[in-house]
Amino acid sequence: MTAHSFFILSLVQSSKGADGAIASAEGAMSQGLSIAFAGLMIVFLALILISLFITALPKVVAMLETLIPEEDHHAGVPEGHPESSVPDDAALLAAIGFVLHTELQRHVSSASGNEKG
Amino acid sequence: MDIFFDFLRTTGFLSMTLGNFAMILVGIVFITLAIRKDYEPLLLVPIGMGAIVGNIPAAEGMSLSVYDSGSVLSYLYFGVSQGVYPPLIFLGIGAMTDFSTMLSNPKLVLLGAAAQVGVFITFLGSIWLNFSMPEAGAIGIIGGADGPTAIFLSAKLAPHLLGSIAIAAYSYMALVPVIQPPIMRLLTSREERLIRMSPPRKVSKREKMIFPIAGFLISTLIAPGAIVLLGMLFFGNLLKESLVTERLARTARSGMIDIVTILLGFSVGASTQAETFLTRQSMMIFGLGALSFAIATAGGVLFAKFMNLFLKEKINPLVGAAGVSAVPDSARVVQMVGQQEDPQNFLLMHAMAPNVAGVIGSAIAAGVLWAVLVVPAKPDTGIPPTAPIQATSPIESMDSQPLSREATSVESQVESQTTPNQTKQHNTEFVHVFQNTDLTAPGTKK
Repeated sequence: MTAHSFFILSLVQSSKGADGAIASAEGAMSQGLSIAFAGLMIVFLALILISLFITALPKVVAMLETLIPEEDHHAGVPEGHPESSVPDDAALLAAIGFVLHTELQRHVSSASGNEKG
Repeated sequence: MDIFFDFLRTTGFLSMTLGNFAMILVGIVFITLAIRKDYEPLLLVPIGMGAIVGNIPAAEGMSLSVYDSGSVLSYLYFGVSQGVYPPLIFLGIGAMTDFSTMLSNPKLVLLGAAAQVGVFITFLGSIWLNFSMPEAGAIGIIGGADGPTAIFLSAKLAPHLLGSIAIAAYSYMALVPVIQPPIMRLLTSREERLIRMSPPRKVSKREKMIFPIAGFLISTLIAPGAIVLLGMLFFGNLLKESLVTERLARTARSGMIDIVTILLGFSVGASTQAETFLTRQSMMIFGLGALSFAIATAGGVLFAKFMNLFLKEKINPLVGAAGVSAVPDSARVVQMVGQQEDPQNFLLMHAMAPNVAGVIGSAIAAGVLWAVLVVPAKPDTGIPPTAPIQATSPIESMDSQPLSREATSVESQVESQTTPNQTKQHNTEFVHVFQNTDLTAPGTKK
């Protein structure tokens, strides 16, 4: 059992009487105070640890980089990951438009060539 | 003729109470605010319409409301009452959240913790107003400014207050642009509001990939009660940042979160029936909710000022107000208030850091309150943990629904008569169905 679990369990014990019922209204506020204080401390502790981890993260990544160099395929459209091969709609539309335009131009020019002929 | 009069007796006009009428008006006000003022329309429109639907009096014997066992609305409400929808919303939020700003400036994470002071002071205020401990915990979490978290915790600790708490949380989230600016201006000087912060550093892809896993481990090892919410949040973020599950991330942040938002908003709205909603307790919850938002905002701003006492590179204290986790509204409010002083000061990116830290912080606070205030499981019976005081189901808490109570007791009898062998058989059937499911269907992979 981790230390925080003991901490929380002790709070639970302190917030109840011997028979497990919540203590009287007079005691409720003091129990509430202890829970509130401990709760806020736990939130701070968790976020401080996250903050410290984030601070160390660039160093961790630099270390990882020497051990496992980052592969290029993660950045773009990977060959081995069909899940990620999301077509770029705008580029696709532009390509279709270009082909259509070229074909139409060729069709128009050949038609006008036939008329001239 | 008798049939005609019988029919007339079943219409809503005859059974409509003043309370129902008032709640229908509240629903219309919500929809009007969403359309006219653009206040959280994605939430207020479903909630408003749900409130209208939920307050049409049903004919006696008809199973229609969210509290009537077997009604369609009760099935929709199941996701709220059992805390299913909030984690799914967190999944979507995770898939749309960019933690870059937080990763580039880790000290701003602390502002997300400071703003949680609103949760715990409101918790104390609720105890002072004679709410029970679990009720106070559920009310306090309104200060986390996080609708799904508030619903999740109240479903666990005080289900009978769920409607009031959810409406209060979402109403005040919609009113963030109204509540926060006066407090921010009151607590900061003009010089402080003019502080410019240096642009955030570029965060590598690998950092973004590592963070969801590490962040989850750190936060949930400290507060295991937050596993469900934070697990889904960080899972959603991993889908986004892993770069190999873009399709899943896209579904989580678009179609799925939209569907869940519709179901959640509508069923929460439908749960606000006048007879359960218009009570003295609800009014107190609304008062405490407003207080908690104000305290959370003040907590963030004041902690930023406190941090400035030790920092060489000062933080704009307005950014502290974004520690309440109303994403991204409170960050937008910071940007707006900052630009009123200096139109060239762009605080949005900086404000997003405490904003997303606030999401984590409020989930941790909810996890802590749940862990402390819930009754541990009884080892001999295997009864799951429940809230100790007044933690009855919404159905049981309603004296005006005898039919529902009977239905519940029948269900519980059936449940108690189910033998372990039957349960095992159900499980085997489920495994059998699962094994025969076509996993090659779109969206799945063998």
